[in-house]
Amino acid sequence: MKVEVSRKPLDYAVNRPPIWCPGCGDYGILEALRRALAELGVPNEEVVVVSGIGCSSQLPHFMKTYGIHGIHGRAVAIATGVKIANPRLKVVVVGGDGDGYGIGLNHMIHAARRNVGLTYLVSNNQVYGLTTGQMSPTTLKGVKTKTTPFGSLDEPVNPLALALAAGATYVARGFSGDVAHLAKLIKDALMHRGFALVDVLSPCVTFNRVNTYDWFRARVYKLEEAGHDPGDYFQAYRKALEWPTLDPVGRIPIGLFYRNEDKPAYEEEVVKLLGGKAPIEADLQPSAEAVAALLKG
Amino acid sequence: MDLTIRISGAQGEGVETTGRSLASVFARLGYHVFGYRQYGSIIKGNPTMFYQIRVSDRKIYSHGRWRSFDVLVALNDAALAAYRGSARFVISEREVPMSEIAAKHGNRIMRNTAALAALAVLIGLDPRYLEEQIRREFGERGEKIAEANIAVLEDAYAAASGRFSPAASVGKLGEPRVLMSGAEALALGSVMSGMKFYAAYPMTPASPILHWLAEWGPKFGVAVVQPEDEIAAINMAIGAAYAGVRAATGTSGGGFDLMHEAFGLAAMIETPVVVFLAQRGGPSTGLPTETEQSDFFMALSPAHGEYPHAVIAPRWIEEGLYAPAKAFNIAEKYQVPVIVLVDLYFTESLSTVEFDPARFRIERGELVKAPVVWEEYKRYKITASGVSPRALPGTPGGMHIATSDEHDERGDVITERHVPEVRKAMHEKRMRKLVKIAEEMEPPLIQGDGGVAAVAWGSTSMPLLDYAEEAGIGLALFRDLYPLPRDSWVERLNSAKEVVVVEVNYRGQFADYLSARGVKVSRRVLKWWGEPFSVDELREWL
Ligand SMILES: Cc1ncc(C[n+]2csc(CCOP(=O)(O)OP(=O)(O)O)c2C)c(N)n1
Ligand code: SF4
Repeated sequence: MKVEVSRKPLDYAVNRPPIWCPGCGDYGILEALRRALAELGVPNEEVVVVSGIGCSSQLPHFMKTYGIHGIHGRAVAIATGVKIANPRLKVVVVGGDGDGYGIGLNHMIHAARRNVGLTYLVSNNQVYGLTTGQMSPTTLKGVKTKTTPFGSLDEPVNPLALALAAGATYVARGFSGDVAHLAKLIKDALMHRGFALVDVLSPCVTFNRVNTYDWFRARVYKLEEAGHDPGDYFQAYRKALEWPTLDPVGRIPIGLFYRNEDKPAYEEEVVKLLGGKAPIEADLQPSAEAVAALLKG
Repeated sequence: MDLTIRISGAQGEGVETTGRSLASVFARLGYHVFGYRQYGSIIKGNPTMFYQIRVSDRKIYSHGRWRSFDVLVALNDAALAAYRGSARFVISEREVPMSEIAAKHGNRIMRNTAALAALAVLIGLDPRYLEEQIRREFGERGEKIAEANIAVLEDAYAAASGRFSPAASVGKLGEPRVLMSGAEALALGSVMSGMKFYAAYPMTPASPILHWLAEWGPKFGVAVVQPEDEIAAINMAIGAAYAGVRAATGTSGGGFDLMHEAFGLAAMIETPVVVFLAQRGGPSTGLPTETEQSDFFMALSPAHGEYPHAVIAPRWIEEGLYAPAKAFNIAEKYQVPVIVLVDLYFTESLSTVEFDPARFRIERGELVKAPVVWEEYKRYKITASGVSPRALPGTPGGMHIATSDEHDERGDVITERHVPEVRKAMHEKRMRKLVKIAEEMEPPLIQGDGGVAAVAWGSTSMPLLDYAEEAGIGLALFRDLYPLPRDSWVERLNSAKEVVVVEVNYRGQFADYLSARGVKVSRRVLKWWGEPFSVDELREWL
């Protein structure tokens, strides 16, 4: 990655304004991502933003980068292919909690255990936005939605605990009501070697009347101000359990839960196995010697 | 010379390795060889699995006969009882105490070697060729095992010499031939075609493609991934293809069911991806280890909606080497997903092939590699051919979004409002590619006009080619199934007195398909109980 000086967040913007409802948390994620890229000075053409389907998955449309707006739940798998084929690219994945923790949950777990070098931003609004307000896997128990008119019977998933259990090497939670803080988490995630999950509390102002900006503001506190050590896996796990598992109504930690830079990224190991060249760099047609060796063996 | 040898025994007792060793001995002697394996979905058991090896001094395409063969090598009583009646010569414990000889030298498992020694006597094969094969196979694992097997070979050869007189004489015929399975042909062909990414979830009978690539792929710069499921497999391949490398996945019917949505995605975002679809008996788990050609309709239209794609079904194993090149070229030139449709009979059978590295031509289609002006670049530009130059990530100015939603020429989503003119133009642009692809599709191989024309697609071509050689009937064998080539083949077919469509399914899917295109199908010869057609059956049913 060649670093260029003085890029501005707007250098990653397209002429088209986002189509989210005014006040949607996704604006905060978009702004934070642009700021993080600008601060790192990543050339636009070296970024690929991959998403699934949902309101939040529209995000790549508002980025002046390469992008794939794929199918519901499969963004992480698509992004894995991009990253392995060309590890020099910065591959960012975005999507909703339904997309990433519901239909596509297994892909996150497997990308985490492989430690693929992806920056995964989940817009966690605890509801299905695009399909007009049904329960999502992170909807808190008892909350009324279109499909849970008497209150949800389901326990919510705990994405951070899942990611830690799966072996993710960078696990963080941001809040789209605090863009500066979120941008810092994303920036670090972009610099991280391996799989990085940034779960983002991102209010859906249209369909979620429970988990609003005010609701979150009253609850969030920053791990870095609470003396948390992100190098301590077990402490990270304990923090991940705070909300929503142990304390569904009380305080919500945000910030960096866990980081481990020692584990090689999956794509690095692939390149090693391939003799030092990424798939995109390899000669298209096999060499005569390789073919001869094959026929002998 | 044309010999058919059936080696039968229990699964997990070495029938497979014995069959494969024998096939490779013949191939090294310069013969044409075909190997067919019948087995069950069990790791150890099924006492009557078999490997049928056919060897000939002329080119052959199939395992040949089904109901009669020259030699039965029975490794247990069940196998003996099951197949003795169909064999001209029988080798079993009764003729040669194979187990005893093997046990004497250390391990009963070596009775497979004893069986081959007895076979060598019967077919007049110099045992030194078997010895060479043993050294090749066990050489790496240790001199000791090789020596023990050679001792078994010598003893058993001596014992059998007293029992049989040679009924044939199999000597060196010519230069060694390359022997491979259909799966190996597809895998090697893909590597030769510049594939650099393969992701697949294990499923019979597509797994051997993955196995071969896992071993050999890295030596050719191919990244091979075994993901969490088939959905991930195809989506990863699509991601890799978007990033600019030739990418593929492989599976069988059930796995492909799971891939449909992503298959449509590839078509919608115009990203080239190749899917090896190896059929087995369906529906559901069906016949996991037995062949069928019943996924043709699925291959014609897997995902919802309408979109361009192509289906290619290599007809014999050697063609499987070169079919991937065509699949990748079509995929990249037209930016569409392509299915290479094979089946268990194809992927798991062995055949000698001519491998010519010079035959692989790579055509990547319209790629934008030099910087472009972002404000002007239209990834989905409407063109006469339907193909728009593709910018790969990393190319300055080529930034765009590939979206599964309907979109405009820039790739921007249009679905937040009703814009029928954009939808109309974009859908037409994509569908137009089919016209161009059809021009690249080859008409069927038509042989010997006149009376009966037997029509087949994919692997059923193999027994039909062998039968036609014997019976002199006309043939029309299809490899390129969709879109169909536009040529005079319909008229040529209709000029035959009788058009008989032969396929391994219940409904006669291909017969329906041809009928809808004006072919006057007079008869369907169908089979759907887990076996390919055989020459003797064709003789009876055609
Ligand atoms: C296979 C499939 N099933 C269902 C849908 C319909 N669908 C579109 S978006 C969505 C959920 C959106 O919720 P979420 O992922 O949380 O994203 P948000 O809109 O809240 O950002 C669903 C169910 C689909 N597009 N594809
Ligand atoms: S419905 Fe909710 S998630 Fe969707 S754009 Fe509106 S506020 Fe955002």
